[in-house]
Amino acid sequence: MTNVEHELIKRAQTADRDAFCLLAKEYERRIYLLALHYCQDPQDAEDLSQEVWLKAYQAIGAFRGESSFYTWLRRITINCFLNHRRSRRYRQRGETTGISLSSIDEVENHLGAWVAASSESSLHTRIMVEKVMQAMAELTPQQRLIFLLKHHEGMTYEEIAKSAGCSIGAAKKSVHRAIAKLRRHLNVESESSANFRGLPTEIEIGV
Amino acid sequence: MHNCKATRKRLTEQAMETPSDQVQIGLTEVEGCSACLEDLTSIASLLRVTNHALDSVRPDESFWAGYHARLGQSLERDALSGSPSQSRRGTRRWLRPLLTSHIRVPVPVAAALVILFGLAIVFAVQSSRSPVVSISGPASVITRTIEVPIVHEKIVYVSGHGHAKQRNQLARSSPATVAIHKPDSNPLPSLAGFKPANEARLTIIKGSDRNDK
Repeated sequence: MTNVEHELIKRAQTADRDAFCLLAKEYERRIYLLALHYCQDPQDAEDLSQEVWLKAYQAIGAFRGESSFYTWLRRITINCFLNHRRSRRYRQRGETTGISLSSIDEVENHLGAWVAASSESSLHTRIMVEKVMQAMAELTPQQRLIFLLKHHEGMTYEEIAKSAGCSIGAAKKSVHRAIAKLRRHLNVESESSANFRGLPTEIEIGV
Repeated sequence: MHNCKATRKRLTEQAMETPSDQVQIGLTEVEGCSACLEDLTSIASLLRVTNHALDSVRPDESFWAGYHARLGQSLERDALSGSPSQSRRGTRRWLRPLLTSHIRVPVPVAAALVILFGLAIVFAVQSSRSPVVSISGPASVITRTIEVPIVHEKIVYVSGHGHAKQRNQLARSSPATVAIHKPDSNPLPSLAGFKPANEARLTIIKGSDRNDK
């Protein structure tokens, strides 16, 4: 934790909202993108990430500095994701809970637009992104969350198990299943790994 | 001996723990097996591609200014509506050191405290079970007149020497010693007109038999 961050946290703990906003500016993109990859809807991602920041603001007084600020913030984020999942489950009770094709189309429309917006993004990139997003949409929320925490956030299985409220074995199983589903959806089996050999190793990212 | 099945179970974790461009380094258990190596390479490629895809999906820079402004507004709304959050923070500030402080207590002292606490709970439960006498307001006084018969005692001396039978008859005929006066019963005999004799003869009668003198 840098001195500046430490100072901002101290000020935020005295109900200095401006200090907290400066602190949020440092991490808001990471939190938003994590929420976006999790719920795959920009509006939901914004609502979810704003909820994370509100809870962080209310609980900033309890931050003792035993871990890094981002680690503490990520724990709040995971709790919000889990609550969001529970509330969605209650709302969807009685309805089909599987991922429908229409929702995958929505995912493509929402997220694909951001990739296609840049004229520099190659066709390969766009196709790849759409395929990956489709594959991610087919994972269960639990699998998607744990996969993101493991692969994208670099958390250990122990940290994931503690944050998500599951066992280490359950976390590992979720990751294995997520990768198996991704491989199946993207046709990345050992015999057909040549599918990805044609893609450039460095992909132009349109921003 | 190399076991492909067992190795492939660990490939996913190996691929996730190792940076994608260093997958093939130091993997002695898969170097001799082309199938496992290819499996590992495909998983690593998948993870690399997924990573790139996730990183490439992001909004424009113009999105963030609006997002930050909206965040500030929601924090302001929370501050205006939620003084509970502020007061909770203030409450927690002095409460936190109290609850999180580490105090070393000897085991016997801790045990005694626990026992005292338990006894206090037991007494509290017992006292809550005992009937509570509720004192109502001042009782109203009701005056009621009850007629109680009054005992009139009249000692009547019956002098006479004679047989016990006569005495008994006399006793029966003239109620003596204690009588319960009933307002509706016959009036007791009176001594009106009684004149005592000039001489008194005292006869001491012993026993109850009539032949005794």
